[in-house]
Amino acid sequence: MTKVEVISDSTFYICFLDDIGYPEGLKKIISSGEFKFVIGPVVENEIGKSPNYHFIKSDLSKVREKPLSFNYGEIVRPFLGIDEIKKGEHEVIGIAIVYHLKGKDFILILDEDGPRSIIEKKLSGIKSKMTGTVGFISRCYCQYLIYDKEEAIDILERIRNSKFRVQSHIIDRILHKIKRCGS
Amino acid sequence: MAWSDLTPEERELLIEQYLILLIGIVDTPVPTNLHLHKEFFILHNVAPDLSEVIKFEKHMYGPYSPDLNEALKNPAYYPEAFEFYVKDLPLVKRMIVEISLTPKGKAAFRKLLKEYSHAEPFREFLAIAKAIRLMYDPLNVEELLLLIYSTFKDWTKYSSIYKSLMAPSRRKHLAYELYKKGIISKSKYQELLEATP
Repeated sequence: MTKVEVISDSTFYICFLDDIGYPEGLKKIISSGEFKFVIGPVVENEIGKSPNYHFIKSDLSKVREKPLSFNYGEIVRPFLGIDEIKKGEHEVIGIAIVYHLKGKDFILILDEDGPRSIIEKKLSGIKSKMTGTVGFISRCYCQYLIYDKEEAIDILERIRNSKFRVQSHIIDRILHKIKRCGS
Repeated sequence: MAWSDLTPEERELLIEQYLILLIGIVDTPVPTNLHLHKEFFILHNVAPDLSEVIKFEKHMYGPYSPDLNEALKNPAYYPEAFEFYVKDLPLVKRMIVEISLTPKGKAAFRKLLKEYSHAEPFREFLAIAKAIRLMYDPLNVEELLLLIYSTFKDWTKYSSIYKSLMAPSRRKHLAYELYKKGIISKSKYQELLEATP
């Protein structure tokens, strides 16, 4: 089975590892056999700072795809702010653009407003591949059957009550979508 | 062979080949010589090996490569590969504009593709070059320089127009235009508003 490539910023991983303290949920996604995770050195470094990284390190290494040794983030560095660059958002966008131009199929998980806005306005070819962490969780239930309905809802409620930055109405919308899935 | 072991002739050949690839990867011409140098500068940041081949200097318009200039104007290995015009622009006089490949240059581009496309790093390099063209070609000269200057401050040392471009009213206007068009993030926009020359 062809695995779907996932290019994600560090906030997706940190959401599970630290924000909601549920690394098991991330481990299920990683071990599902559905995905390969494309992770560049900047994002890897960010995830590696998590005290809970050891929960996923071994499983992630089995399904991790390392991009070639280019500094992909440099392609878009001038378009982003310093804080976004520190988090590796530039690396994620750079890899996504190159993969897109090579005709690869992938899922792009981006949560930060700034980088999302650039993709929505200037990189429309990638827009359809982009989702956020909560949107991806709904796919993990509705499309990939990694979670059951109760677990998907539980994760979203944990996110709502955590420091992860997402507006409550977006969680409501995703919850509504999850409740309709499979019915 | 390491890049640092290249002879001057080998370097010269490689620079001309890189030039053909960057220009040829998109069907439309590179808008100006400033775009060409800044796009190559970005490219050499993405592919660090390139810094062994193409050297950049701090110049009156920011990062500039004399090697690249020479390759464009007097190519030794690919004669008559490049064409361009010279035009006065509001910010820069006697600017080389609309840089493209001649039929000879296009033939050389196709030959390079045929010769190296089996290699994954080469195909990746081409995608990167295309990404850079697509991201930076649409910027006008002022937008391009503002983004380069604000990101790579060390390279503004000898810039003759840095101060005027960074003057508050001009900088804020340009930053707003870039943000409105969706080219920069809100965070970058804020940084440009608060920047000090």
